[in-house]
Amino acid sequence: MRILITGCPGTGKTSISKSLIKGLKRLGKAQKAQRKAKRKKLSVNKKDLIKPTLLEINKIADDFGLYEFFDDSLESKVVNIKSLENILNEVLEIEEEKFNYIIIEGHLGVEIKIRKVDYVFVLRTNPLELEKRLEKRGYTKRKISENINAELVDYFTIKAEKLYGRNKVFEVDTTTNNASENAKKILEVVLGKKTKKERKRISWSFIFERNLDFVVRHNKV
Amino acid sequence: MKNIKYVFYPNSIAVIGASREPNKIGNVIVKNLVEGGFRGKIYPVNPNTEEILGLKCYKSILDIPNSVDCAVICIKKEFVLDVIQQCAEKKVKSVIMITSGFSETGNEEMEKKILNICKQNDIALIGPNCMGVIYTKNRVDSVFLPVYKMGSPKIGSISFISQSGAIGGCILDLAAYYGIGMNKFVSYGNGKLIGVEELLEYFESDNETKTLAIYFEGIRDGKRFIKALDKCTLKKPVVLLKGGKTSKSAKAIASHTSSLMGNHSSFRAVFKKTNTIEVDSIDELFDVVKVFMQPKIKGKRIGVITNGGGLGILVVDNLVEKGFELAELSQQKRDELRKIFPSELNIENPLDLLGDANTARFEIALNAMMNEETVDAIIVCLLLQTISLDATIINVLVRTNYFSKKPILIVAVGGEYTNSIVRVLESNNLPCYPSPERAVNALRKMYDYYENLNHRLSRNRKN
Repeated sequence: MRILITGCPGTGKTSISKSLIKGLKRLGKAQKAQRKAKRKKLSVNKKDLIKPTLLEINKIADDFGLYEFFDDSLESKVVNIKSLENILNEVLEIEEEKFNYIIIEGHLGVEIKIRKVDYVFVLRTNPLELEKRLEKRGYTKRKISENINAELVDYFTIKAEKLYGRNKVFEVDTTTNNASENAKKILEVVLGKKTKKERKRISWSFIFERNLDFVVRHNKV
Repeated sequence: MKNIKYVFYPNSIAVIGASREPNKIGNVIVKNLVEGGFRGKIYPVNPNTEEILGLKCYKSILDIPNSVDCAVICIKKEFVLDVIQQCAEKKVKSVIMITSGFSETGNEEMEKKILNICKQNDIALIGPNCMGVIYTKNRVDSVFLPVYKMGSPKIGSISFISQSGAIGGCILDLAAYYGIGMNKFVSYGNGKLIGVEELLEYFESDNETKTLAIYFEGIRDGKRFIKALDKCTLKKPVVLLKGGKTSKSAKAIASHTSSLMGNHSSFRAVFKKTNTIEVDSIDELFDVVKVFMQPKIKGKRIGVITNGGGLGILVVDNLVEKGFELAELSQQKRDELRKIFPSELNIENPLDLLGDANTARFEIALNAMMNEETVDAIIVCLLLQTISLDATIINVLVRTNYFSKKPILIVAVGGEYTNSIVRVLESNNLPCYPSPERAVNALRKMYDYYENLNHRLSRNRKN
């Protein structure tokens, strides 16, 4: 299974992905234990044991030297998109020989088309909170505003839906920033405990109305 | 002119005449490169200074240990000849000469000498008497206007060529203000070596540039200009504003950029023949450039959505005057909408959503028009002054725009509140217009361009 975790910088992709891997590993261990205990009814086939791994898109771009030039912040290195797409899809094929749950993480997930993705989770954070997180990271004003503007107009959701189809895209509100809680929500969907019908759309459009000053301030930069 | 690419894609830039004085051009250029985040090496050159903005300063370009792809020259004209000689010795590939006081002031001889050196040594020369170059992607910026007085445009796919630095500066500032994405910008000044002719040839094959906008006053080589324009317009729309249409302005031009302006009627004939989009003002230039951010228009049938009846009617009047047709909605679509919309709402085109329309009603109407095969383009009139329509319309419009395969234009007339929403929409590639006639005019120019392009392409195929 291929699971893409994407979203604007600062929405918590890294920590949630790690948490997700932890959760999946725990499940895998439990499955193994059950097999050992030979509880036939509950145990799964050996090939179906959960074996998760994490692929960070940025790291692959780094490892393969796919950056064309650098910007003032890490998140906006300019990547050779076409090469990244090809290499990432090849890496996935190889990883799939060993692992069956692959978490792919990165904001570039909506700029390249990753093949055979089963689920796309777009992390969403209220821009008023996102601004604080990005300031803490020391991003430049321009970079912060670019990201705030993207988050305000659902950029990552729209791009994800266009690339992967509406059915595969789920949004997760990470404004509260509790990685393990949010990872749990994602697991529920992945493990089929939550159906597509239960998902809800996330929108910050109320900020346009209530905090127009905030919007205008970020539009100026 | 193969070295012209080093003007936009240099790995290293030397600023000859770099200065520590904050109000000097030589300071602003270094500062814009450093603070703008230019991705290559920057070498300030000034014999009297050790360091500028934390960068080691070199006595002459010949002292720079590595190769130099581009030299920006902003020293007094008396020293230019020596410096250009040194650039040749250093095998510099391109030069942007900001310094003025050459043919535009009657100093033909010195300019000729400079041109000869550049020609002999394959140096791509932009200028003299120019404002230089911007390439947003790798943050090349030799334009000497300070950042605090002027915005810098975001990365995009529109490129601008301007003979005049002043118009160029205005265009840059406005593009930044409206959030219009720019790819490359070049102000070429006297342009005796690289003028509008060579730049047209360059931009024809520049795949990052999807739309080209030009302000120019005159040309050097008529035949070459027409040929270049003819080829370029086959690949991308060229929107052109020409200065010097009257005999009075011709005189001003001679002392401005020293080019010959020619008879405007003959230019007009050339523009028509080459499918070049001519505009009459900076406003119109932006109106038209913006519309090309949208998908191709494929027919004449327009759908109009409004929450203000009067505004819709003005749009319709303008559409009819400009030779457009109102799209007919299919019976099936009408029935669908009839079930959803309140009974007092007429399911017609223009689709008047009434004064109490909210974002949800607009979303339904937009989706209906988007999926209707009889609609070739959509004009959305937003009367943002009403109590029920608020800024949440932004999300709906941006989303619709992403999925749309036909052009969507917005007409929003109003004051401060309206304009703040307009700016958000425009920075998300939705073209907005302050009046129905400006929207319809831009749409018509887009329609004509593609219509003529199709004719030309099919004619070329036959030959």
